[in-house]
Amino acid sequence: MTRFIHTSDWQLGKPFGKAPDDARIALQEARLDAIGTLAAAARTHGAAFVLVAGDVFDSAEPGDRVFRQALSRMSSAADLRWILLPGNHDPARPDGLWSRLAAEAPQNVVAATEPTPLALLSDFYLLPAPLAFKRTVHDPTAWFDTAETPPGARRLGLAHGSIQDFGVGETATNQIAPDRARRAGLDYLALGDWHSRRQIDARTAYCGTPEPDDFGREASGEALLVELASPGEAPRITPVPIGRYQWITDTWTLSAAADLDAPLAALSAGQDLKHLVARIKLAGLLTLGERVAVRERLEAGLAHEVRWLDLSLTDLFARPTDNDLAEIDAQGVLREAAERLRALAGEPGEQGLRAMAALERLYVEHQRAQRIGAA
Amino acid sequence: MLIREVTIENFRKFRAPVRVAGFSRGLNLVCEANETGKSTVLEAVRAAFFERHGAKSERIKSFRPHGDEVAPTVTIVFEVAGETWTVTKQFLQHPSVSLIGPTSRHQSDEAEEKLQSLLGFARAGNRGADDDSRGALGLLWVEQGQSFILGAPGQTARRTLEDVLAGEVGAVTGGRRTVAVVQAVERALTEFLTATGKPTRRLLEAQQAAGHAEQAFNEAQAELRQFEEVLGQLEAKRGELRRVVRDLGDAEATEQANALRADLDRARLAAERLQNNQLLFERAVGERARAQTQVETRVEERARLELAAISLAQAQAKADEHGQVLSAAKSAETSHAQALEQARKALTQAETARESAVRAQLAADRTRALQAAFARLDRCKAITDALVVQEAIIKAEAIDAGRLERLDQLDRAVLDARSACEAGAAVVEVRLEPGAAEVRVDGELLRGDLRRAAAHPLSLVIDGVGRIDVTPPATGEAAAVRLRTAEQDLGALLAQLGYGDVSAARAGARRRREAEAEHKTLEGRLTGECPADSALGLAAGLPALRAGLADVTRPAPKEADDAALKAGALAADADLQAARAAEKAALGRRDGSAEALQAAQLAEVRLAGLLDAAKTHHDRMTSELTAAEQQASDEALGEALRQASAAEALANDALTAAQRAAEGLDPTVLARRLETTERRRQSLFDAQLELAQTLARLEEQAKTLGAAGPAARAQAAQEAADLARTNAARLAEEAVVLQLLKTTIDTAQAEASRRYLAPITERVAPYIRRLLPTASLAFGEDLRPSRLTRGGLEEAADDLSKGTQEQIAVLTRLAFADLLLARGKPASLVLDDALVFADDDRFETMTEILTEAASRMQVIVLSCRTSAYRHVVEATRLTLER
Repeated sequence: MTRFIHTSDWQLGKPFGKAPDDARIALQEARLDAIGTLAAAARTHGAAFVLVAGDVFDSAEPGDRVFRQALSRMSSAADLRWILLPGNHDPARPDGLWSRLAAEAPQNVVAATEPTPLALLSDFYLLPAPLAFKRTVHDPTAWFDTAETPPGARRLGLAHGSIQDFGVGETATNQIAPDRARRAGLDYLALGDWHSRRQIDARTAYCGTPEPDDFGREASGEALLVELASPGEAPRITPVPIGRYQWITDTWTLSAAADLDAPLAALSAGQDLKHLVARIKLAGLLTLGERVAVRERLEAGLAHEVRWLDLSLTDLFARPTDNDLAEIDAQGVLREAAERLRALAGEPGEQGLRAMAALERLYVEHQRAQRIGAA
Repeated sequence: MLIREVTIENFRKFRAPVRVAGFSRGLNLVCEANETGKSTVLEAVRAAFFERHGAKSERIKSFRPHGDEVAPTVTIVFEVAGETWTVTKQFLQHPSVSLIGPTSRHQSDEAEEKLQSLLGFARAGNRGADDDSRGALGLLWVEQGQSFILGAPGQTARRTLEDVLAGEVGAVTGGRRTVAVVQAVERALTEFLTATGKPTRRLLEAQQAAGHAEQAFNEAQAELRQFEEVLGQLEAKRGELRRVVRDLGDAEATEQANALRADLDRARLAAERLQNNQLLFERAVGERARAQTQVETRVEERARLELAAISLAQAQAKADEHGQVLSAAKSAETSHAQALEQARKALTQAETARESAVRAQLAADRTRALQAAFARLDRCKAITDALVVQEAIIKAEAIDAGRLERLDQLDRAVLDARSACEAGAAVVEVRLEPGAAEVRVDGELLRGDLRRAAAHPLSLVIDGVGRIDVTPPATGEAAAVRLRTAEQDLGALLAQLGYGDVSAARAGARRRREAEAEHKTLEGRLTGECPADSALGLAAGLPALRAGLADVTRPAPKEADDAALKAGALAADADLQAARAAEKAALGRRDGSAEALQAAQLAEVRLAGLLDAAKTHHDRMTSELTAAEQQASDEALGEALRQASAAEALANDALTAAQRAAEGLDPTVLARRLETTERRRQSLFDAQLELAQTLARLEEQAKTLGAAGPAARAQAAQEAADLARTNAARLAEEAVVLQLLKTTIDTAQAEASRRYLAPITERVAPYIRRLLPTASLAFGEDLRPSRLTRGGLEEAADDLSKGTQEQIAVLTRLAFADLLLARGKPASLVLDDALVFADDDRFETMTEILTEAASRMQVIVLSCRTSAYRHVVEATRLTLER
């Protein structure tokens, strides 16, 4: 029985530029930490080596810090062999990242930058399909079919690219034949590029990224433990959880302030909030008071409990009721201003939206003034 | 609100208790001299209500009489809403307060709070009561020297007033909360925009950050491009070096160079040979061409000689032919000239015949004219005879129209004079009976009856009877004289004209008139018979006619044959025309034949010339050919040509062979190719060295640039720039929203203040008008009098005189008090030494207003001017009781 870990799409150095500073640093650090978690998982499951199917780095030139951190973390797991493959994010350009890596990597780290069979163990050969460019139109694994390995040796494939067109309408690049494993006589074809886990056939699988990095991705944050028994037998493929942060995206439609209770409860029940990255879109129509309350509850509460809350209130509309206005004042200047703004808010277009925002601000400022007055 | 009684002890100058009691509902006057302590009483009243009993501020301490550690104490009995209350406040030592009402009693802080709620003021701050805490009553109880301050009411007072105003107009600024909100919005806005709307602080920072991020992104992008360019160059240069090395080690290239050298040698040899053969061939071609030319020249010469002979024969024939033409032309010209002579003679005859025909016709015309002229002359003779007769009549009758008129006048004068005479005279009427005696009137025998006006003395002699004289009255004498004169004038005229009486004269006048008319007719006929006669050259008139015919014999009256004459003239015309035409035709024919003759003569000269030239040419040709034949015969020339042609064919073969040998072996091209090959090899060596250097440099660059992680940085910078942009846009939007909110609140505030100030403006207006007719007062939002409008001119309230300011301040307070009363709020007015700057008129008006106000509220006036208020009889006068 031979065991190894199949992982991919580490994308070390991903900037997370849209996240707030603290979240960005945490998310970047978590990607590097995934190396340690992978090493631990490999040891736990008795894996001899780790195949990284491309996109080790987020870009072809990640900068020295990320480069050094990655190497030092892999080198500290000296009992494991790390086989790294250039992917579309970090293609192997001459004199670039991979030349440096090949020159400076510790002994247990192998850069599979050439499409030639690589002896892994005594009777295991790895056929890597490194990418030299961000996009190529030919199948980088085409050479597997005719690759020569000693008779009787078992063959593993390592490639980065899509089996099918991921996007809609995009020209398919780096496309890999879906039946490559069978055609090239591979025991297993380890694929990268797809950030979620996905099994193509009994011997072909995407493992997904070990640390989730975006919203809307299912089954990510894992690596695959691959166990190969005797030749001809299908490998056993087991997902191993690796990731720290969970990314969720959801739309909550509210018709009253209390409607927020259920999704909030569900959210905290499911996971550790501090490791949650959430994109919540609120929709619906509330009174002005309710909208302010909902917003405050989320911004002052949930936003601080989770790692990063990406909150969108664009579709949560407020309909200022007489009650809302009465709360601002029964009469007087503020009430008059509120009435004017309510009338303005009824108009379509930007001006209306602004008037609504101004009314909400008035409501909030008024509440604040009241709180200060009460204190 | 009514103050009923005030008791003070240990308060400033009052160590012993002092009481002021008996305050009435209306106007109260406390008139005391200076230094009596009026102002102290008011200070004590304000302290008792507004200051906290436990306060220990400097002001409270100053309540103590100088140098005494005693407790200032104030007790006030007052009424609010019909209930009587007593407040006693002791300061500093054992401070205490008690408030006793009709049904309750309050101590300490509870009492303070009850007081506040009763009178509508706020809790005093740590530093003691101030304008803000005292409320409306603080505003209405004016201390000495404060009455002329046109200040804004303090916060509490204003709120009270605003509440009151709100009750009246249903709108209010919203009080403290509004202020807080407005301030918060303004504060928030200052984080984004300056007062002039320019970005500042957060917005400016965000915009600058976005700009910087954008710049950083551009820089990172440039760096990345530079890095990728380096990598690209590196790859390109590597490829280049590989190709250079491969090319340098290429054995084939060396072989190719050697082959080129061998080819070049061969090519040069072949080229030399080719050049020689070319020369030989060209020479042979030249020889052959010359021989050929000679043969061809001989043939041409023969042909030309033949042609010359033909030309000569033709010229001769033409010259012969032309001789006949010339003689024919000569004879034609002679005969045509004779014909012309004859035609001219015939023409002269025709012209003579025509002239004589014309003359005959003219003579006939003159004869006819003469006959007519003589006939006219005969008729003229008859007319002149008749004229003579008429002239004789005219001469005989001397009475023309003028004289006839004169005659008529004179005749009328006689008649007039006569009737005048008879009018004044007696009438003598005599009627004789038959057989009566003879009666003589003025000697003349009367026959028959008599009736006569006796204008003159008249005598009747009757025979046998006697004489009767009738004498007219003397008055008729003048008329008788006039009658006599008239009768004399008439008689003279008739004598001059030769007529016996008037009627004869009138008949003579008629005859003369008729003769004159006849004479005129005859003269007309005479003129008609003597018109101008162009045929005889006569002017109009009888003398011309007579003179014209004087020397001419009268032609015999014979008929001329006009028709024959006319026919003769026409025939002569026709003959003349025909003769002219014949002459012209003969002339034309003579000229035509002369021209033809001239042309024939010219042609003869030309043909003779041609014939000469043809002869000369033919002779020269003949002699030339003979000379040439003597030099080389035709056969010799043919042989030379044959030999030259054979030599040319041989040379041509040799040239073709040489060309074939040189084909494909261009020494220039081969030399160039060889040179290129060698140069390329050299440049490869050079390139190899240069590439090695470039590569080393680029590798170093790639290493340095790559270490910085340009791709990662570019992506991070892009995301950062996006974020910064979004952030700046978000803040800008927030600024716009805040601005909108602020503008809206400002608008609402302006609107509200305009509305809620109206009641105050209305209430103060009648007071102001009494003091300053035509003036009106406007208030600011803080309820402070702001502008006075007088006679259309606006003045800032602060610019008014101190006196006017004080009066306005008092009236404004009065208006506020009215407002409070109207809403059932406690109100009373206390003035301490107010109106000191008022002149007598104004003072009187003000006291009137205050007196009227006292019917609605309690008014307490503290004054040192006893006499000034003497006229105010309605007032309750009080004194300080020690």
